[in-house]
Amino acid sequence: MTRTIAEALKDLTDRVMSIPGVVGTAEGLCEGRPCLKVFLAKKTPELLRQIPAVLDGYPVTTEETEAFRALGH
Amino acid sequence: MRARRWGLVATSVMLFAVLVAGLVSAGGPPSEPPGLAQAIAAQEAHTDHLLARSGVLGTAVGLGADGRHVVKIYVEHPGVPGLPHVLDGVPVEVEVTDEFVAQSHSLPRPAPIGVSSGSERLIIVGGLLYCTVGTLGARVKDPVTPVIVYALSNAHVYALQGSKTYGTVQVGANGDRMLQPGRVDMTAQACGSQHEIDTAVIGRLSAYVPIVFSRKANNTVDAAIALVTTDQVGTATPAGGYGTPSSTIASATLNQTVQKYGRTTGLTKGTVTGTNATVMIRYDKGQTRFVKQVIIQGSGGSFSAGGDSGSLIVSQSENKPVALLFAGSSSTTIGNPINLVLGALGVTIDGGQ
Repeated sequence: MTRTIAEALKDLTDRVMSIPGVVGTAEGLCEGRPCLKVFLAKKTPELLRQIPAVLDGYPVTTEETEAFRALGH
Repeated sequence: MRARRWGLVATSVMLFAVLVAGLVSAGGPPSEPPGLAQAIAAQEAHTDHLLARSGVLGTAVGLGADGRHVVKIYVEHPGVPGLPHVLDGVPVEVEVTDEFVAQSHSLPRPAPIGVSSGSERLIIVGGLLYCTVGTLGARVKDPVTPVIVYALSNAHVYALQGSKTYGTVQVGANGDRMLQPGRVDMTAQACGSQHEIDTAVIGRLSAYVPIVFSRKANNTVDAAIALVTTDQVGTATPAGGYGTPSSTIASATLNQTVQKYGRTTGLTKGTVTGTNATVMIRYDKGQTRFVKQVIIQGSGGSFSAGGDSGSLIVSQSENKPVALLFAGSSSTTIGNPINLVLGALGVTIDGGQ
């Protein structure tokens, strides 16, 4: 891996956050190993096709989280 | 922020009338947003039937994430069978809550942390007035003059950032009165009587971090403080909570186990599953972007729900503050790193020593 996970995350964020339906990105752990996460309002085949599976050697996983909202009532 | 017209069937109609009257007196045209009448009618028609089901605690008309009116069904645990997704054409949202038994009224002073709190100021959604509520997350103090203490919550709870507000200014203003409980949780009449509001005052809005609204924004905190006294606000959660937070903070790390005590879901436990997150967050006013955020998943259920905004998230070991809860979805909770919150407001956690 040539870049740190923080650098890879920045690249991933720049690539995917403008895609409608993508609501977030983060660093995470996947089966105990560092990975990149992409949060989706809803998982659709069309959206999944636009998310890379691996970036700079770091696995990229997707999670269906729904849209995020402020939690005041 | 999600505002709410609170009430079971009997009070929902009264609340609507009071709020419209308030708008008329302000000189604005009373306009009813699409869906409100249908939502009230659907709630009234089905509440008796819904309350007959085991596990259902109540119903209300609320606003969904898209700003449309929904019928809310409050349940005491996830997975109550047979609940509808739509009632007479109105979408249904199901929310797990224990608010009916735990935190629906004023508490003795000094008030604990992790409980209902909010601004006196009303907000406008769809031409109608609403009251709001969140959580008083912690008592914080001035690092130089520690007898000066504040209540910590979110800017969208205390300063109504992200909302349109009612009055001469469009957002909350320093000096606004902050309440415990928040007006949503008052019982005397819609959003509280004047006496109830006056006796709920814990302090005044002192500082907040404005939220920038843009898809390219680099917001890091949704935070505000109200100047209070040690007679009004204590440092520990109610009994059954995690107690008093440590005055020593910690950075969020992956797989760290955390907990929080909040107005709606009380004590919950979870795990940090994401760090350095970039997320889009919806407020009444629109979506905006936050960076450097902490992602948390609940252990065996939701970590948070509407009304928990402002809760302090602490480590399960040693109660070290990690993040300030402000947003999420039914599956995921998001917090601001606590070092950024405290740094932005120039305060430290009051650990009670």
